[in-house]
Parts: sequence; structure tokens; C-alpha cells
Amino acid sequence: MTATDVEAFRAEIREFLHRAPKPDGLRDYGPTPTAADVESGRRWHRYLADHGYTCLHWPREHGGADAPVAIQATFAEECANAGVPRQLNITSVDLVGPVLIRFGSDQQKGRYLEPIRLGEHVWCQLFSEPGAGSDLAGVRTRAKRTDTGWRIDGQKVWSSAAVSADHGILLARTGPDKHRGLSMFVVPMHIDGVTTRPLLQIDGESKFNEVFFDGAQLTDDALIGEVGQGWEIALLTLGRERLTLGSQAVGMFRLHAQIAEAARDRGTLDGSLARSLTRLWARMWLMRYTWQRAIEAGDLTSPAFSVLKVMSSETERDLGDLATDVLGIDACVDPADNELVHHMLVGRAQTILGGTSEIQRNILGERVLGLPKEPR
Amino acid sequence: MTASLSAAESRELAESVRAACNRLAPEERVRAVAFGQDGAHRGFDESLWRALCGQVGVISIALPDELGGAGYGMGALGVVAHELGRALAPVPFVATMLATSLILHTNWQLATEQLAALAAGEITAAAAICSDSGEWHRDSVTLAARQDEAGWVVDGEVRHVLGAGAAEMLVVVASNDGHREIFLLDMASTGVEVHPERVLDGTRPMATVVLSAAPGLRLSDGPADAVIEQCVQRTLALLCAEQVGACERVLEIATDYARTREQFGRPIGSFQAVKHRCADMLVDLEFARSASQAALQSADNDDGELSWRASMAKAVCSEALRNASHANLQIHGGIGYTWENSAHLYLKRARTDEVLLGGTGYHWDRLATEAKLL
Repeated sequence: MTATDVEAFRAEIREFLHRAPKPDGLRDYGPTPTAADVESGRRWHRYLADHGYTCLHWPREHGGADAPVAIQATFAEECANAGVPRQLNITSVDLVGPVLIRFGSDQQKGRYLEPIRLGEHVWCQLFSEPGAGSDLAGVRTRAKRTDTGWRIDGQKVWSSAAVSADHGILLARTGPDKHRGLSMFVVPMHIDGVTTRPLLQIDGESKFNEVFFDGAQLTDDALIGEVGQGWEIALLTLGRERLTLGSQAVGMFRLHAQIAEAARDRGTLDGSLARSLTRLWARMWLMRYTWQRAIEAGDLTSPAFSVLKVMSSETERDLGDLATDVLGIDACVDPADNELVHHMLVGRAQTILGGTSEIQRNILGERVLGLPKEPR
Repeated sequence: MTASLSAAESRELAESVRAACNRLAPEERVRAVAFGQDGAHRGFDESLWRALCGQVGVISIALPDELGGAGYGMGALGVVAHELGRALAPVPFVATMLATSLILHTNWQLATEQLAALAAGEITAAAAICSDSGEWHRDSVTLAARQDEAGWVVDGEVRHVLGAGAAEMLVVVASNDGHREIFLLDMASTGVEVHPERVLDGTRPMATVVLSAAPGLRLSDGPADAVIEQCVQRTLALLCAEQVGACERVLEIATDYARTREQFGRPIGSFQAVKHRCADMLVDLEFARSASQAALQSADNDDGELSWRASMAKAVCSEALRNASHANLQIHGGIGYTWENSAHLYLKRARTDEVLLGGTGYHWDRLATEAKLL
């Protein structure tokens, strides 16, 4: 894949996105649709699928395009530029798809992959628990053998889109060993014993949920891979987001311009604020450049790839903080009435979701720099 | 566009520069050169410089074909700079590159012999472009040129001229009738006084140059602000590559220590307070690496973005190296504050490089202006 090929693809996809008919109500809702976004997101996904632009990273035999990382990255960035989501939801396409392709039975692949590719099913991730956040392997939700399959009891949390989901991918405990006692399952979300409750976020929105399991019955074929393989499967799903992280720069540059404009309008653009805006602009620009550099080098384990999560989430957080710094006294208004105030609140989430900044720094220290693990 | 090195060629070039530095300039040697002697040659490792120029070709690699060079661009010079920065190599690479750049972008045909001697490492050059060698600004030029019966002569004084003590040649910017022009001076000629300075970083030797009717060869054909500007930006890109190299090495030193030093019965690198500080250094290093690479790339591609990218790189790389050198010293604890430990060598390099050719504040502001951010 040469730079020229990538640029040719960029031109092609830009033209395609420009001409594509957008369903009513479609907006760039990010990785996960709210309940209100599902309908337009689904129709948009189907349109992309019909033109071969979904599941780019999947193998061809499952309807994907076997696309190299540079193409996946360019597609993500152009979707951000066009202000459209790049699929119905990220969990189905980026997490469940690769897991089933690698570990799923033929029956599971046959049953679940095509509806994901076409945007017919929304999936959610059922990993974190109230007692298992950063220490994910500490999950306590139990999967117990029954005559016909499995019985699930426990509680999951931070499950984005669970309220709209048809299926979930569940990490549950099948044995006492911390890591080898974990297994992975497919859960239909509408069966008895599964209750989903939306959580209200600090910004007034409701994107993630709690999911309660009270004797939910799964059939035998719900198990993905083998008993005890859950942790290995979970690890496969982590870190894929880095491939598309740089596309977040598009939104950051927009917000930055909006902040600068607000500062000018309000006469708050003094030397100190100007310096802060300049420094943040450099971080955004360099985050994107680092992403591109990492993709061109092609080594997914390189330090450049590894630092991207911390780089992008903390830059986004600081941008959110700067958004209110320009507002002066108006930083006290309802976030529903001022987008910049809303950004300040959302900024708090960036350094927590998908692995906290603290956990990210442990990973950088231990896996990239080879420092000894903390005693656990 | 200039010729660029393949990834394999870059690796090979880096390895040969690193091998030369490891062999000829291990830490004891760097210390001896930087602190062990006084006088004009303090801070200049002549044998290392000759090996780098003669055997590796660190100057000729980017000279044009007609001067016997390899015609590679800033990417190749950046690879060299990175390795020199890692080793804190006491050689006048940055000074010579600024001087060479000013010659190459004007009438280099007048100085082909000097360029050949420079490329071979037989002589070195320094450049005095404005007062105190801080940020380039056309209004802060303190040298003045005039014509007398014999030709052009230059008067004035410049402080903190990098590498001037050991240099045989000096390229200066002097004002002439209200505009700036570029002249080439022989350090041995009458009217040139060089006073080596006592400096923070012995591997970055500086001198005060005093010129009194010193004869100069006029290289420019009139107002040269644009050329000077461009040469300064190219030099900034190389200085930044040295900073990134130093930053990379500082992180290695800090993590090596954190892995092996034990307190409370375990390696200090297992404590989050230390581990996270190392992780921060890594994040800063990757930001800096990107900034430096982006500036070098623009210099080679001539895409019109070098001006702001050079300033962004200088600000970002300076802060990364400063923070890394501080963190490294802190991680070493008491031993880090001793002369025998290498932490202060990198700290002093960091604090010197960050003020050369303009400090971080100046370059942040310049970035905002040049990239029209606000």
C-alpha cells in the first residue's frame, strides 16, 4: 500500500460520502448510537454495506475487504470529516466480529456475522462490573453449567448501547482461577433474567447502562471458544481502537476553531489563553501525525501506537477544559444550552473510558519500557 | 524534493554514527572534552569530528553532487543529528550546518574550497547571525558591514556564538545600508577576536566574537532576510533532531535505573509514581519525535510549512527534553545530583538547547503567527 494508493482511496471515499444520501436524523454520534440514533444509523450502515464500506478489516470470506490499516484509518478520518458515523456501532463491527471470526464456531459465524455486516443487529459489550473496572479479570458474574447450557447470575456496568442491543458479548466466571476461570458467551438481550437499566451521565445524556443477570438461561452454543478462554478472547478486543484514534483529530480541530472564535467574540483572547490554544493545537496536530507515522511504519506494537490513547484522550480532556476557560462567567450555564460547557463535562470521560490514563501509563511502563509490574 | 534514504539506509547511517560515537566518545571521553580542558578547543572532540566527516560523511551526505556530496536531504542529516544528540557528542554539527546552509543558499561557488575542507572535517565553521545568538530577528543584528578600499569589512560584537572557539571560518549576518547580508570571514584574519566563554554545557562550547574592520567575503547579492530565515529554520529542524536523540537516551537511562534500583525490597520502577513518570517521558518523546520528523519532512519537501513546523518542533522538543532531564535526575535521587552521574550532562544540554535560536515562549508565539492559528 503506497501513499498514492491511500490518497486515491481518500479521494474515492470522500466523493462517495459526499454523494451518499443521508437518512433523516443522521448525525456523527461517535462509536455508539443512542436509542434515538439507532434507526438512522442502521439505514446508513446498510447503505455503506451495500457499497462495500463496512467491516473493512474483516477477511473477504466473511464479507470484509481485508483492508490494510492505512485504509481503515483513512476511512475513519473521512467519515469524521463528512460528519457521519462509520458504522451502526463499534462493538459489533470492531469487537464482536473479529472475536467470532477468530474464536467462534462455524454455526456462530454463520448466524451472527452477516447481520452485523449489514447493520441488522446491535451488540453490546458486557465486560466491566461494579467490582471489576481497571482490574477487569476480577469479574464475578457467574456462568454455571446446567443440563441445557448455562445459567448466568451477576451484574455488568458501562455497557454502551445495551438498551438498544440485540445481543451482548459476555465475560463471565466459570472457575476459580483469576484468568483461566473466565469464559466468553453470546447473550440474547431480550431473554428472561436479563434486565437493562440506563445510567444517567453527568452531562445529562444516557449512553451506557447497567445490565443485571438473574438466572438468565443460555443454550449450549452460547459459549465462544472454549471454557477458560475468556481472558484470551478479551485481550484480543483491547487496543483495536488505536487504529482509528487519529480520526478524532478532525473533531478536535473543529472544537478548537470554535473555542478560538468564542474567545475572539468575547474579547477573552489574552496572551495566556492564546498560548494555551497554541499548545493544544500542536498536541492535536502531533497526535494525528503520530497516528499517521505509526500506520506508515505498520508496527502495531510500536511505541508510537502505544502512546496514542493517552495522547488523544488527554488532549481531548484539556481541549474540553479550555472550552470553558474562554467563556468567562458564562461557564456557569446549563450544558444543554452551551456546547462548550458540555465539552468540558464530556472531557472528564475521555481519561476513564477504554482504560483509564493510570492503567494506560502502567501499560506503557510495563509493556513498552519493560519496567517491573507492581505487586498484585 | 531531494533524494531520500530508504528505511534500511537510514538504519545503516544511524548505526554507523552510533558506532563512531560509542567507540570514540564514550561518556568518559565526553566529560574529558567538555570539562577537562580550557581554551578555544574546549568542548570540541576533533578526532570524533574527523571520523564522522571523513568516514561516515555526516556533512557531505547532504551536499549537492557538484560539490562531491551525496545529495541527500534533511532526512539524512536528521538521522545523524539524532545519534549525535543521544551521545551528547561534543562536535560542532549544528554550528557547521548553520554556516554551511548559509553558504549553500547564497553564492557557494565563491567558497568551494572551504566547503570541501568543511565536508572533510579538516576545518569547522560557526555562524553569528544576530546579537547573543538567541532567536533570529532582523532588527537585532549587531554586526555592520561596509566597503573600504580593499573590499568588505565587518564591525561589531556577538555573544554566545556556538562553536566559534575552534572554528576556522565564520559566516556572519551584517547590516549593510539598512538591509541584511551574508559574509564569510576567516577567523585567522586581522580584526577578528574570539573569546571563549564559560558555559553551562561544556559540550556546547560558545565564544564571544569581536570584529573590528574584519575583512569579509560577501556571499549574498543584496537583502538576504528570506535566505537567513530559511537557513535558521533548517538548522532548528536539526537542533530538534538532536534534542529528540538526547531525550530518547535520557528515557533509556531513567528506565534502566528504575528497573534495577531497589528500595523497600523491590525495583523502584514497579512503583506507579516512578513508572508513570517514565510513561510521561515516553509520551513526550513520541510527540517530540513527530514534531522533529514533521519539520525535517517539510524542509525536504519544500511544502511551505517549514516555518511553523520548525517553531512547533523547537517548542515541543525543548519541553520534552527539559522534562525528561528533570525526571531522570529525580528518579536517580541523590546520586542524580552528583557530578559522577550523567543526569546533569543531559540537564545542561537540555537547558542550553532550549534557548539556542529562540526559547520555547518565542517559538510558541511564532507558531501561532506563522500557522495563523488565532
